[in-house]
Amino acid sequence: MPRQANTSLALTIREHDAALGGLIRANPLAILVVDAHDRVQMVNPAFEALFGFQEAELVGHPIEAFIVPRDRAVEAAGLSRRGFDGQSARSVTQRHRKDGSVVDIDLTVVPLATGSETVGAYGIFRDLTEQKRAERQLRAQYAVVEALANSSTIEGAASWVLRSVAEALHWQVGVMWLVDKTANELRCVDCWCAPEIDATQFEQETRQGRFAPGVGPGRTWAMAHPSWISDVTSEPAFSRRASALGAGLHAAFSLPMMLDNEVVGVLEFFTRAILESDDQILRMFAALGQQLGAFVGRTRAQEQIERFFTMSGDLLCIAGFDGYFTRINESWHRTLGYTTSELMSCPLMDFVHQEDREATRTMFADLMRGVPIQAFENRYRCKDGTYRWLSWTATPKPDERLVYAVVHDATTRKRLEHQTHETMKMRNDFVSFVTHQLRTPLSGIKWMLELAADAADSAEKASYIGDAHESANRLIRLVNDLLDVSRLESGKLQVTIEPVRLRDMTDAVVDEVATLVREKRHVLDVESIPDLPVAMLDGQLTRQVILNLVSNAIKYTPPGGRIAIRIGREDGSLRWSIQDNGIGVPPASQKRLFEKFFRAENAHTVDTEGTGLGLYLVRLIVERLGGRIACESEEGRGTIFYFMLPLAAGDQT
Amino acid sequence: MTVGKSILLAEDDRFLRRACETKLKQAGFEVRVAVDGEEALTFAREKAPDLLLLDLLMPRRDGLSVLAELRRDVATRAIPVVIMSNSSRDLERQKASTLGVVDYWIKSNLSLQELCDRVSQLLRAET
Repeated sequence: MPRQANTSLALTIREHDAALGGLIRANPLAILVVDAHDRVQMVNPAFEALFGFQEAELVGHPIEAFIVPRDRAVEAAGLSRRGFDGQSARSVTQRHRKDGSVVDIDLTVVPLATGSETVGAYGIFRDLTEQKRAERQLRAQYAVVEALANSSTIEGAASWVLRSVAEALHWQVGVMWLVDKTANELRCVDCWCAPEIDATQFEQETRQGRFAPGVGPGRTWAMAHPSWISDVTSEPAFSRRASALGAGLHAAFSLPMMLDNEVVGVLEFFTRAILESDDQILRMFAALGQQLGAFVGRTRAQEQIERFFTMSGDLLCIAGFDGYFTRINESWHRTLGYTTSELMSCPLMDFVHQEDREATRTMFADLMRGVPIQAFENRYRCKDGTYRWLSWTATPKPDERLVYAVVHDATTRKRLEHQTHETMKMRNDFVSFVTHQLRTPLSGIKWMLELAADAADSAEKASYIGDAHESANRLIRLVNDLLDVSRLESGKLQVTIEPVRLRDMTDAVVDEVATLVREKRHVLDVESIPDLPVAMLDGQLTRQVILNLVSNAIKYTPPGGRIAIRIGREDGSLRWSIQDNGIGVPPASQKRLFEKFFRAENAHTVDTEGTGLGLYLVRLIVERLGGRIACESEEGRGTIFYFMLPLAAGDQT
Repeated sequence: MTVGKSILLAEDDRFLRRACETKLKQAGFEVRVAVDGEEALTFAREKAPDLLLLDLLMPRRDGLSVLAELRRDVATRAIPVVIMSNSSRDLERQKASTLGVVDYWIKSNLSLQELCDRVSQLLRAET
């Protein structure tokens, strides 16, 4: 079109504008004046600044060739037509700049009339870039927040986050990378591609990619700083260059996902345009990197707590004020044997020991009033019907109507406490008993010596000293017995195996007690089978057992009794029996006869000097030699003790 | 004076019994000995002594049971009793104390002379 054809109109407008004090030229809004043929007559400096064209480039030419995107041509023509028809029109639309980038605008078309004739139109453009950007940012942020809220893991949120950001920017590809600390590399969590592009190859390469610090997205990881590449296809260091070219991708930016000061991942976005670094985009999404990093941190912390919950040896639970568990960990199953669903389908009180229910109810009532509980103990029924002691430390959350509890299996401790208590009691009993037993002969020695010292008559003196001597012997026997018991109990008693002629040894014991037997006018017989072996055993200890049992028989049989010792064999063992027709052992005492310090109820009637150690010692010795001992008795009729000792392999018959 | 006061000595250990009996008699007391709990009860009922020296661990009937029996019977209720034992368990002391005893002596901690002096002192106070 010839430019001079419109000179008069242009001049008219410029004069008019000058008269109005530069209303058009000085206007901060971009303003364009076209004639009725849509040819540019004038643009103001704001227009030049917005679109990057100089007025001289445009004047005399149709404007749509410069700033109207192809897909907006119809819309633009429609707006112009209305202007020429004398109507104002307005549209929120897009135009592009000289550099090809798209700009969001609010366009108002106002007719330009001289008299009643429409000679052209004003186009008034308001730049909506900032507003649109803010809107998109807001939309993207909202979408990200929503994605994170609906996901428990970053993997689950990744796709939504990438899509939201890419769509908000009108970019086509988003990739999320997470740092794998063990392998010291970035691995792809997700890759989102807009449906309008074919990026199959690029996506595949990305998903399989592993990047070390400083390489590819690893640069952002290493620098902990966003970075921008205006065209990846001309960047030799970009490893996915070929496939990016194939997908038509050019500009890219990446930003670190920050957790405190640590990079936990990297986000990458790609677009089809070749774009110079845009600080505004980078700034806008820096916050997103922080947000995602924090989310990763939270989910990791959550995972850590979850791991503790799962692996805890203690029983962890959350229970409702309704008395049912709402959550329990695996330890409940491991400790009590029930499945999780079995435990959660019954009121927790159902498992509590009857005797502990009242206290448990009180405890629960305290919790419901908001009082925390420390180390409350009750018994819980296991699946196998046994009970275990549980120690509860619980904190209520009345606003949630929940109780959080850490429960410790205290069964072993309880058992130990009980055992310790029993042991202490036994030890105390032992000490008082031994004290008593030791004091008696000591008093005897002390008093007899005191009498001897004061005695004038020498025969009298000798008699007191004789009693003191006898008391001393009693004391020594007691101390020796105690030492034997102690050695046998601690397993320190040495066993000396030697060949023993059993009959000879037994006869020797009988010789030793001959005086006592004679004094009480007892009859004592020894019987043995003819093929009695020369046995390999500890002669000293075996002798002690026989002596002890025979002495008991003599002592607890009224004068003129019968005592029989029989030696025989039974199932590959040697067997001794010592039988008497003495006072016998009451049935109630028989079971406890071999216990430490136990004396049969009727033993006192015969002798009060007994310590209750003799038969205990006998049992310990027999057991030490690998044998066993038993007793049968009828009160008033007599008693038979028998003990068996194993025949060693080398025993000669 | 304490000479001629009657003492019942219940002690099953023959050495201790002999020693006590000898010493108390030398001091001029009239001493009767019982070798077990049953005998102690029988003798105490026959003739209430001025003092009963009572061992705890004895055949047939232990000292605490003797004491309880004596306290049940009006005729023997007032007999002054001293427990002479070698057991220093609190439980036995408590039981004896509940049943009412003048004192509780550990034999091994006393010499015969001390024993004699204490008996004399008690019997002087009684009269």
